[in-house]
Amino acid sequence: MPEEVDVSNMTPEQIAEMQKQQCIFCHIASGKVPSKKIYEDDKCIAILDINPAARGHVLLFPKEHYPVMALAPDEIVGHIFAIAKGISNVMLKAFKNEGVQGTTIFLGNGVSAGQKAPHTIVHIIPRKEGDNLDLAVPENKTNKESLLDIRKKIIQSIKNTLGSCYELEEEPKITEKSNADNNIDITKVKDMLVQKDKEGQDADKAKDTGKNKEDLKQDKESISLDDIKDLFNKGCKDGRM
Amino acid sequence: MGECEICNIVHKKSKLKIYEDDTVTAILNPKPSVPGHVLVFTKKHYSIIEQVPDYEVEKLFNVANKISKSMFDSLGITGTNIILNNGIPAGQKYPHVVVNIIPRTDNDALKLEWIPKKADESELSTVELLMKENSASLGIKEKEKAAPIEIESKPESIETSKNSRPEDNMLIKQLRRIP
Repeated sequence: MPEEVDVSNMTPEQIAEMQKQQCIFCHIASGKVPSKKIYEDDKCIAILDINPAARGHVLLFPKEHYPVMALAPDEIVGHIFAIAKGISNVMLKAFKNEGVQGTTIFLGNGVSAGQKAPHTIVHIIPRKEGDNLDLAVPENKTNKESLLDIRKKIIQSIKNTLGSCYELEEEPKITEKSNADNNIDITKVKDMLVQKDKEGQDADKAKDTGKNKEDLKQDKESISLDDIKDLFNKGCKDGRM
Repeated sequence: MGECEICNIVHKKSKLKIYEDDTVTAILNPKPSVPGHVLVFTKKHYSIIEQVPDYEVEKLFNVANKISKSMFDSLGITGTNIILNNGIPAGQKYPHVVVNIIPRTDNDALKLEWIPKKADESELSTVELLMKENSASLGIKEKEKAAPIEIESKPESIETSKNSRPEDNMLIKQLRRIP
């Protein structure tokens, strides 16, 4: 039975240390708790799950205590999944004669995602046809509005955590306002936009008047949309949207 | 290659894309299991994860992990799953390696769980043996480029020993001990 501990007077470091001391996977990593080790190096360890989803189910985890994978440094994350690939490969060879023809590499962050222990763990599960494991990712219908709505919510965080994001070409219109107080040459951009707008009108006119379409096409090509995008990206990279 | 749905996305402009670098692309799944479901994949065509070189695997999952973090920051969720289904029995949907990142909430309709089975000691030992027999190359990583040639540290140590007093040098101390 774990003793009740008053955490109110403890520093975050002390709490983290206490969690480590109570973490079964930290004890497995240090060898205090015995396990069936499949692989071990200085950063991670892979053991057999004693309550497997299927025969050969492996738990792979960093030796250092990270409650969720998002807290682990890049180097550890990359290493763990490269080893996961290797273990998947081992499974396909080892259980070939038993009908294993696939693997699932599964990570749950948080209780709602099926995480059972406060130590980040990657599950590698051998898969057979008709094994009835509920691990297929279902597909549902959605619409453009819903997708764009999610995009709007997540895109700034993507940019913050990954350093960049995939910019949509429509975005300059949204960012134009905030770029006004940036140091980039906004008049140049505006001129370009105005000119493009004019071209659009010209194109409409051309339809009516039957103006030479090839000429128009050439005009359009002389202004690259990428030029405009670059100018805005410059603004974004300064940390301003 | 033109047949691969994922490769086709890599090569075109798409409103579904949220992240792209020279190795990987991430999109909002047009057929999401829940809103916010993201797919991350290598730009190069690999049908199964075993074909993907280690440095691309590292990149792929680092991006997946960071997108998972972004979801926590922006979608008001309580969890994420990062799932790679590898092979048709595992539910792989495209002939291209794709990692799923699925935002989770406490009462969502997703299962994505398994019923733990009991395994006795002897079965676990058999499995352990069987896997170890096949794991000779595990942990030996393929490198993007050949490892840089390590410069021998000997010349440097001679250099430092010149600057330091002779009596500080362990080797010389040892020499003096010899009668």
